[in-house]
Amino acid sequence: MGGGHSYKIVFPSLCLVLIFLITGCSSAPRLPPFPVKQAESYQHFLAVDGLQISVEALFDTKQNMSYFGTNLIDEKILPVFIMVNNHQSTGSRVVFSDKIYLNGLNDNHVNSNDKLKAFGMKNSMALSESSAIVGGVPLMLVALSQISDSAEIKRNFKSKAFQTHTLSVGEQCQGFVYFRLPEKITHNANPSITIEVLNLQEKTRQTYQLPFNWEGDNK
Amino acid sequence: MTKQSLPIALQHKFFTLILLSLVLPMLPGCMAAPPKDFVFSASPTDYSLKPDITLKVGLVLSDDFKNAVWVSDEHKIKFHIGAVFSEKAREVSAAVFSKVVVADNEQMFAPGTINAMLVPELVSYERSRPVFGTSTTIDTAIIQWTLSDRNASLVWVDSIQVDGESAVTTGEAAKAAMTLNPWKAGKLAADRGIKMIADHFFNDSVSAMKSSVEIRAFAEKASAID
Repeated sequence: MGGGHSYKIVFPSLCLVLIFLITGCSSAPRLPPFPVKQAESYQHFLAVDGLQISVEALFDTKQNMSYFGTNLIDEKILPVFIMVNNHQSTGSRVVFSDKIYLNGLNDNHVNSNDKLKAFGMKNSMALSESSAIVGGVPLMLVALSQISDSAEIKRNFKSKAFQTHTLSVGEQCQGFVYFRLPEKITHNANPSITIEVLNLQEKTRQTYQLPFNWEGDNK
Repeated sequence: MTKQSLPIALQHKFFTLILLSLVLPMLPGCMAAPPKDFVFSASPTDYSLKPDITLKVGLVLSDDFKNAVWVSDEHKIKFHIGAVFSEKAREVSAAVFSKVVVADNEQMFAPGTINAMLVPELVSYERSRPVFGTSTTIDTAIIQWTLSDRNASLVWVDSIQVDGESAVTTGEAAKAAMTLNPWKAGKLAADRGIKMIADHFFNDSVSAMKSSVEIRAFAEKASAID
């Protein structure tokens, strides 16, 4: 193969490889799971009726970026990690994903199913449309990269959500519950996390409340 | 067409691969132009154990569950996944319970025919979207199972979360990709991902039900009354 041919092939190939590198080479990386630790080591902990309930809110931008690929606080969504351990109660308990509340604010529960329908998509979609008009390959790939990130953020967001479980004695479940934050939180707000638990044998519902401290820029 | 008659760039394998990588993003899930419907069907999961929970169960497969569809955010692709999950739900209940009757809703069971109702619900289905078709796509499904007695009193509830991975670079999908048939390649790859999800859903569901002390206690009580 002559030097001219070699140049014609190598140069565009190098350009394309560079584009691959710019756009992150492939799909958005899978985001790591939130570490499951000893129940007592989370921000808020309650041991009652043989249950251990742990709560930790993720106000921190770095943590949000690490586990969600974006800062949910900027979207006025507060991710709260909940872990319930049926440590040594008298029987099975059911924890419902839609029976966990952040008190002190009105109607703030983000529904797990329509959580991020629009979230995180608008910018990448706008970029995608603009790139289609320009038609440039690098822009198209950057747009695809953004859409890819957005899809993975959404998939990850849902897969980390707290789900409904029956807990036999010795079992535990965990996951994130997402709450919508108001524009401004008043200083006299005295919020708490409330978790409703069903006692399967007695068919009674018990409510557990954990005082909650606001942190970060929202205070 | 002989090799010599191809453009010089296409005679070079590396350049052809680069070109393919550019074409592959146009596979379904990346930038498809017309809306496309993908219909999936289930293949049986290999399972040999017999059901060991003696309970007459009414499996409720609602229209929402049977017709579940995942739509891409850009509304260019529809995955008809309900049939796969419905078939797996039938297999799961048949693998766990001694007798299973299937109906569209709770009212359709004749009195005395069942001890409990089992309802699956597709809580969420999401799909990652790789930049390049050569990368792995992850599908994640969350399905909630609810078992209640004839009076609709809760016996047991659990959520099963399963992942499936697929790529167009392996198997039949890769062959279709090499012939520049993106829809076929995308469908074949998605078939593999959804089969993985369906098998995990079956195995995890069977395991969760068989290991549930709540279900076994209820089944014992129901058998004693029968």
